[in-house]
Amino acid sequence: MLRSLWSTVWAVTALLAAPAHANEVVLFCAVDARLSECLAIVDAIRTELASASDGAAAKVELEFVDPASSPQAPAGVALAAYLRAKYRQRPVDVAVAISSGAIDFLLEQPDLFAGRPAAVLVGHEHSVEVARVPPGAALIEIPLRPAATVELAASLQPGLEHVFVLTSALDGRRERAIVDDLGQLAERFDVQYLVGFGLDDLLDRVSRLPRNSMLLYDSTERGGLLDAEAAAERLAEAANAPLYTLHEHDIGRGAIGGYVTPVGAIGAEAARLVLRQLHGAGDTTTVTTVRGSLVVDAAAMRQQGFAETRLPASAEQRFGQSSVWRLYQGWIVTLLVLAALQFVLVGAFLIQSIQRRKDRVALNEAAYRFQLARIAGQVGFWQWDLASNEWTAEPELRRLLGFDGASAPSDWCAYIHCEDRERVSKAAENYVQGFAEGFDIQHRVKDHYNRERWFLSRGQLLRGLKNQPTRLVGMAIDITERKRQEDDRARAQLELHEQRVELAHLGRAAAAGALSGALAHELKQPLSAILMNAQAGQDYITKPNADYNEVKAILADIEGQCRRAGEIIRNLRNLLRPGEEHFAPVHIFSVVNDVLTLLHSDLVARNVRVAVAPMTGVPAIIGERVQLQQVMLNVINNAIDAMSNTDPRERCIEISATTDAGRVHISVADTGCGLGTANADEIFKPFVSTKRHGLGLGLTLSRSIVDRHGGRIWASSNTDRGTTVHMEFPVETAEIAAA
Amino acid sequence: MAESNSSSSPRRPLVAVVDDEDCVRRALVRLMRFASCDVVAYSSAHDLLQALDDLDVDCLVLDLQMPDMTGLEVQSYLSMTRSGAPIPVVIITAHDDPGIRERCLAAGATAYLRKPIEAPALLAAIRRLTASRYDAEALPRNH
Repeated sequence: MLRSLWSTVWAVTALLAAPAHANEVVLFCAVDARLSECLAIVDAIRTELASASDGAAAKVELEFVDPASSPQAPAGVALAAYLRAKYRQRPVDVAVAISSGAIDFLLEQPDLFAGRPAAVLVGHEHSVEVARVPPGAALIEIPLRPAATVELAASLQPGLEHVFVLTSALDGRRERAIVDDLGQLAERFDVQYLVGFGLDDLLDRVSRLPRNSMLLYDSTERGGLLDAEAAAERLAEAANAPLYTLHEHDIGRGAIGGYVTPVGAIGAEAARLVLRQLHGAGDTTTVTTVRGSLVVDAAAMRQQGFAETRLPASAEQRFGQSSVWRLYQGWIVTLLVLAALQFVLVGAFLIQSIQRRKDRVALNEAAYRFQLARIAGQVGFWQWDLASNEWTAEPELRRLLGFDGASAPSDWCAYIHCEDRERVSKAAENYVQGFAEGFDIQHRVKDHYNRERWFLSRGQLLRGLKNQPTRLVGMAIDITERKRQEDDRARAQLELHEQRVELAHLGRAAAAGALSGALAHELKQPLSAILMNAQAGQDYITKPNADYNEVKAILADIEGQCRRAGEIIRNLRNLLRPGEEHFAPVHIFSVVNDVLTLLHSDLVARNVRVAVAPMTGVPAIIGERVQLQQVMLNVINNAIDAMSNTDPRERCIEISATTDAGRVHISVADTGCGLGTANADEIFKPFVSTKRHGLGLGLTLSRSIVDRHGGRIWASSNTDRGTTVHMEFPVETAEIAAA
Repeated sequence: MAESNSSSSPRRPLVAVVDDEDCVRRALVRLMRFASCDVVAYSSAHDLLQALDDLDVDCLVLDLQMPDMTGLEVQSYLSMTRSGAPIPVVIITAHDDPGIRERCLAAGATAYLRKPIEAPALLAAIRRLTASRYDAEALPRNH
């Protein structure tokens, strides 16, 4: 048989030397449990052959054989006949048998093909007797390393004790090789062979394995129609111990790993050998072994909870070595964190940028409104730098005053009225040093036209990093108009008050006038009687028989009339007495102060300086406070009016008080137009006034008040200029306003 | 009330004095008596008018400002109601109004005197008024 085969091979070779025809390569696969694996190898071979670069185009045919049926069986005979018939006209160059079943078939049927094609045999170690291999054939041996697989398991499962091997009946060459290989581990592990079980039984058995077990899977004997990989999956699922395998194809389908030979490598080697055979085989039989390696299913491993660290370094990881993640976990996490940080930063930056833009818009709006407010409200800003002690007025403020904002000097103090400068700087000092609550002061300012304007300055203290005061930032508001209005109002009120007072007095005076008629009338009666009685009496006593009784009667009547007259006068006097008066000790100094306070803004507005001499030691007088205020008000007002035509720099009122012989003497001197041609006493007469709207009763009424206080009031011309009004009041409690 | 005084042979003039002020009335009565006149005094015009029916008064001394009737009213009443020669009237008043004097005189007052009254002036006026009726010597001359 073999010889026929060999002659076929030689014939084919000869044919090959002939002018080229497409090489025919037939692949044989056995339909057994490992069919998938075979087919994978077939694919690998096809791929390799297709990409072969030596130009030898090869046609690849795939045939299947049933290893269960022997060649002598009718099925086998039929198959052989079929094949022979098929390939009668088609010379085959190379025949490739993959797996022991196909190899057996091929070796037993050497005359299948017309020529004698070269053979490439692919099978597991020890599955083919080398002696049977015809000369010139190439044999690829796939290593079986069950021991190595067990070692792998041992390293992953440190306490491994039991090894359960799943394989076909132990009588095959391969199976015996496995047993031999595992024999060396007999001392270390308890190796048991689960053979002869049906799949269901197996499934049951593997679910009850003892602890520290492993399953070493080769194949099942009676898997039925189920192929080995599917069986592996079911076994892995059912088993309570990890499943290891000797076949690469099982890994990832239930088996955790094992010492396997990659299908790709097998295919590549087979293709290489096929090509070699196509180019001339030779007589020698070549045996090549494809290298295997440890391969594990990383996902399955993790699932079992095996630490990666236990894995031998040479082991190849597949399926779930979410590779990059596993290897570079740390780096990836770091990168992600950095990326996240970056996103956060960018996000923050964006947000900030948006916010800033919003702020800028808001700021612009605010600035715009602010500008409007300034223009409308006549507001300007200045600041006092505490370090350099410079008061700077901003250009807007200077412009407000009518100066050229750019060229005018920036020293704010220069603009403040000289008389107010000290007051303002003192107030600022107080605020800065914490003695005052705030900085809020009214003062005068000279504008471009040298006019005086009233300004309200308010300030806010700015502090530095160490909370020390650095700057006083101030706001200056033009309140000239407001002040003018206030002054006008105040003055109007004052005038109104004065007029009311005068009118009240006038009313009383008028009443007095009216009553004086009544008084005169009333008095005339007793006076008449007195006169007539007296004259009658005078006449009577000249008579010769004058009766003294008669004279006595006359004189008695006269006395009576006089008393009556006195009564009349007293009653009418009482009628004329003004309202409620409360006489009490009064200090002239306080009266003067009250009045000056009332007149303050007026005095300032009219540039009148008032000098009040100290009145310490001047005793109090008994008086009616309100009335005394009226007098003082009237006198000072007159003084102010008198100076309306005087140079503003020379307007001055001097008030002083002295004590002399139980009387307090007060003088109010002005630098005004003086009494002129008028008599010093004339001005106290009623309805005498130089004022356009004056009633001319002020001094008249003042005099009446002073008189009621038991005092005197008079005026005198000063030696240089102006008038002095003098008042004198008794210190002791004399009879004041007695009937 | 009326006060009267009987006189000696030549009939003394009868003066009627009307003033609501007691002191003035009393003084006037005294003055008349010392001037040798008969005097009757009334405190109100009504009293006078009532008495005038019975009395033959030679002269009236009337206060102008009286509560019930002013002297002027009395005067006009008398001139309207009495026939014959009107009784001379001396108006005395405490008022000082300028127009009153003219009015009184225009109304028929024979004399107008302001208080306080000077006795000589009053007596002179009465003498003058009653001179037509009586002997002038009956009245005292100088006061």
